[in-house]
Amino acid sequence: MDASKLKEFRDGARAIEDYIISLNRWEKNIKEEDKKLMEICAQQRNHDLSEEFPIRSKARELLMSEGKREEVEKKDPMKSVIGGKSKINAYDYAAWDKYDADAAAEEVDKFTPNQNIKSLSSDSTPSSNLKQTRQISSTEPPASTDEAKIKALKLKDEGNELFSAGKYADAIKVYSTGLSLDSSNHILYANRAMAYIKLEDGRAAERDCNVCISLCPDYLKAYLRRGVARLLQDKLQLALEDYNKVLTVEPFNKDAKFHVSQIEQKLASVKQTSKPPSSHENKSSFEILAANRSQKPLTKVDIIELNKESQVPPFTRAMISPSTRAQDTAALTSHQRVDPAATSSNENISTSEVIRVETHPNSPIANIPTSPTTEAKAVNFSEKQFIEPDSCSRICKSEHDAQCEPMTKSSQLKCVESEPLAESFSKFTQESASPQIFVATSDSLQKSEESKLPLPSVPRTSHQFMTVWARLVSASPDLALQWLQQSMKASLLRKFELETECIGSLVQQLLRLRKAVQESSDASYVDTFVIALTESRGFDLQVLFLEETRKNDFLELLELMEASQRSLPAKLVALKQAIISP
Amino acid sequence: MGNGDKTQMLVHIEKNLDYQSFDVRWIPNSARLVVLGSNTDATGCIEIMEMSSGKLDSLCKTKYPYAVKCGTFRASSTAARQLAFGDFHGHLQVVDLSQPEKILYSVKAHHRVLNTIDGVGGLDIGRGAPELVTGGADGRVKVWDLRQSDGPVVTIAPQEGTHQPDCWAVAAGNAHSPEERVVASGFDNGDIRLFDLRTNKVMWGANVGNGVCSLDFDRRDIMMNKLVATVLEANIHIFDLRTLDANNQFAFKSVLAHKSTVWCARHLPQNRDIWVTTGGNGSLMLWKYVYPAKRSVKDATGNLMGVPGNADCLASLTASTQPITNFDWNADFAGLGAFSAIDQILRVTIATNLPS
Repeated sequence: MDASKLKEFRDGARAIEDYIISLNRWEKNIKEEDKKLMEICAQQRNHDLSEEFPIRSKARELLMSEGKREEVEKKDPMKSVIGGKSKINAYDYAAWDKYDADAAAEEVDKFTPNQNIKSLSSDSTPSSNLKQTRQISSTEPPASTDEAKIKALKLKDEGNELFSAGKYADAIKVYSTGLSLDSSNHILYANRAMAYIKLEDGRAAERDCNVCISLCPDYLKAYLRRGVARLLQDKLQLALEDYNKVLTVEPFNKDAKFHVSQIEQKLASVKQTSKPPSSHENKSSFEILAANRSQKPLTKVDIIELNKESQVPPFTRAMISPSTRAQDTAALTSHQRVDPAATSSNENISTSEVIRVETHPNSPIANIPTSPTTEAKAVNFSEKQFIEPDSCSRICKSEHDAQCEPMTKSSQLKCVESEPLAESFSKFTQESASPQIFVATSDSLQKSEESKLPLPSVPRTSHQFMTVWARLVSASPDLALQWLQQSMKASLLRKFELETECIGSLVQQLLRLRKAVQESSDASYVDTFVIALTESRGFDLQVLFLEETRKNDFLELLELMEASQRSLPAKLVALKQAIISP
Repeated sequence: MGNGDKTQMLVHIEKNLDYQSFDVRWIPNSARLVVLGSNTDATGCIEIMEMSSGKLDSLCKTKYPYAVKCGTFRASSTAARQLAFGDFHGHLQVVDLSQPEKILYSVKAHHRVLNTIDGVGGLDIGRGAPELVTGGADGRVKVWDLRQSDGPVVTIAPQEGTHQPDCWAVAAGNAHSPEERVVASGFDNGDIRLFDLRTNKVMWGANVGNGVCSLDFDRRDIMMNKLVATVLEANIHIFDLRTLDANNQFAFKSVLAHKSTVWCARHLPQNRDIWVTTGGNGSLMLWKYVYPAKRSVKDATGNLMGVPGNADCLASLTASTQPITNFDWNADFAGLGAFSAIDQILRVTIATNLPS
C-alpha cells in the first residue's frame, strides 16, 4: 500500500471518527428536542388544519354543486359561529354587552369547522387518459332545502368519522339524523348500509341499499354493498345478481369478480350435497330454486296430516327441486317397509289417515295422467286386469280424491271405476338416480299410496329388479305383477341373476297369475316368462334351495304349463325331476 | 478536494431482526426509527428502535393483523409524527407511535397489496393539505386526506378494459403552493405517469421498458425539479422535470448500476442533488447529479428542450448479500441513513464528507 493510499485510508478513518462523534452529539440534542416535541404534541392535538386547507374533494364538490357560482364564498369560521355577525372587537364593550354567550355556544355545537370553504382558483377540468373517480357525488336532490342539504352533508361527515372510529351504531344514528333532514341523499343511505354491514345486520343494510339504488340506480357502491348485505343473509343468488350487475358496468371490478366466483363455488357445492338447508337459508334456497325450476305448471298435491308415530323430518320444497329435474320426473318413494300383514288387505285405506307426501311438484303421486309421449311405457291395461275389482275401486277412489292439475305433456286423469289402471304411468327415473325424498307413510296406507305411484321403469340390474320386486310385492302383489308385465321383458329376465327369495316370490306370484289367466291367451305370455325365469342365471341352483311351499308352487306352475302346452321343454322336465327327486 | 474529502459510506450499526422488514423510516426529530415488516405468520410488525451510542435499542414492538409493507411520516404534523402505513391486504392505517396499538385512521385502500406510500403536506414539507398517496397491486393510485375517512379524495385508475399494471411506486411532489400537487406513479410494465392534482390531468407519461421499482422527487416542496426512477435490470433514469418539450417529453439520463434490480432511490434531504440507490446485489451507491451548462435549449423548431445532466457515483458500499429493499435518510443529520435487506438485518449507515 503506497503512501497516498495510506493517507487516504487514514483520512477516511478520521473522517469517520469525526462523523461518529458529531453523530453522538447530535443524538443527545435530538433526544431533548424530541421530548419537547412530544409535549407540544399533546397540547396541539386539537389543532385542525381544515381551516387553512380544505379537503381536496370537499372543495371541489362544493364548487361543482354550487355550479352557477364561480367562486365559493369565503366563510370566516367565527362568522358562522356567532350567528353571521362579524367578529366583535375586543374593545367594543357595547357590542360585548349585547353578546349572548349561550347562543354562541349552541352555534358552535351545531357547526363544525369543516364547513369552511375557501375560494379556489382551480379548474375542475375532466381528466384525459386516466379515469378519475370522485368519492362524493355532486348531484343534489331538488326536494330539500339547501340548508338541510348542507346539514345533512355535515352529518354524513360526522357519521363517517364515527364509522372510521369503529363506532358503527353511533354512525348509524348520525346518518339517520342526516337522512331525516335530507331523505334523498343516496350517499347517506349507502353509508348507513355500510355501517349496518359492519354490525352484520344484513337486512337493514339491504333495505338501505335498495333505497339508495332507487334514488340513484347507477351508484355502483350500493350494488356492491347490497351484495355484501345479501351474502350476510345467505341470499346467494341475489347477491350474485348484484355483483354481476356491477360487472356489467365495471367488468374489471376485482371485488365483484372475487365475490362472484365465491358465490358460484358455494352454489355449486350446495347443489352437489343437496343437503336440506338450515332454516334460515330457506328463503334464499327457495329463490334459487324458483329461478331454477322449470316454467311448467305445477301439480297440486294434497298434503294431509301425518300420523304421530312418523318421524320423518318436515318437508321443504327445497329438498326436492335442486336435485330433481323438471317435467318428466316423478318422485319415487323409497324406504317403505310395510307390514306384510297390513298390506294383505286394502281395507285400511281411509281418507282420514294421513300421508305426508313429499314429491316433486310435477310428480304424479296423486295424479297418474296419461302421457302420450311415454312410449314404451304406455300400457293399456284394459286387457290385463290383474287386480281385483274391489281393490281397484278403492284405488280409484283415492286417486279421485286427489286433486290434480294436468301435466304439461299429459291429459287429464282418467279415473275410471271399472278400468283400474287404464292410465299409463309416466316415465320414471331409475331408483338409483332418484332424489332423496323421504316419504312418511303410515303402514296401512302404503298400499293405496303405492297404487297412486307410477311404476318403476325397466330395471337395469338384477339387484334393481330384486329390490323393486320385493318392495312391490310387499306392497301389493298385483302391482308387482303389473310392473313385471309392464317393465320386464322375458329376454331381460333371462339375463338376471336372482336370489332364492326373489325367485320364490316370483314363482308364487307367477303361479297366481297363471291360475288367473288359465284359459286366456295370456297364459302363453306367462309361460314365456316362466321359461325365461328358469333360464336366468343360477336358477338351476337356486331352485333347489327354495322353500318347500315355493317348490310346490313351481311344480304346480310347471304342471299348468305342461297342461296348456301339452309338453314341457326338455329343460323344464329335467328341472322338474331335479326338484322332485333331489 | 483532497483525498481526505472523499465521500465514504459505511455501515455503522447492524442489528438482527427476527422478522422480515419491508420498510424502515426515521422518526422525524428524533434518533429513533421505525421498522415495518412481517412476522413469519404473515402478521404485521412495527418495531420502534432508538439509536444510542452506536447501538440500536428496541423500544417497542407492535403486532398487526396483516403484514405491513410500507410507511411514511410525511403526512403528519411535525409534533404528532403519526405513521401512515399500508399492509398486504390493502389497508391504509395511521397510528400515533406513542400508542401504536390504537389505530387512528383505517381504510381499505386497495384490493390487493398496498405497495407503496408517500406523503406530502405534513412535517412542514410542501404546502397545502397533508395528503397521502398510495399505490396498490390493483393498479390504482389513490390520494387520501386523513380528514376524510370513507374514501380517497382522488383515485387514479386506468381506463376500464385496458391493462391494469400493478403500481409499484408513487411519489408526490411539486407542492410549492397550496393548490399545486403532482403525483408520480410507476408501474410494473414500465409506465411512469405524472398526474397533476390541480387540473386532474395526466401531465406526462413515459415507459421506461422495465418495471419501475421506485420513484423519488428530489424535493417535494419546490417546483418539480428532478425525478429519479429506478427500474428492474439495473437501470436508473433521472428525469429533468423543468422543461417539457414539444413532444411532451422530459429530458432524462439513464445510468446502469448495481448489475441487478435497483430497488430504491432516495434523495438526501439536505442536498437535493445527492441520492442513494440500493440494489438487488446488496450494494448501495451514492450519486451526485451534475447539471449541464444549460438546462434547456431551443431545438430546431424553436421550442424549448430539456438537457439532461450527468450522474456521478460518489461512493459505493456492498452491505449485504441480499437485495436491499428500502432506505431512509435521517432528515436531521446529514449522511445518516438506515436500511434493511432481505437478510433480516437492519443497518444504519453513515456517509461522510458529503459534498455540499
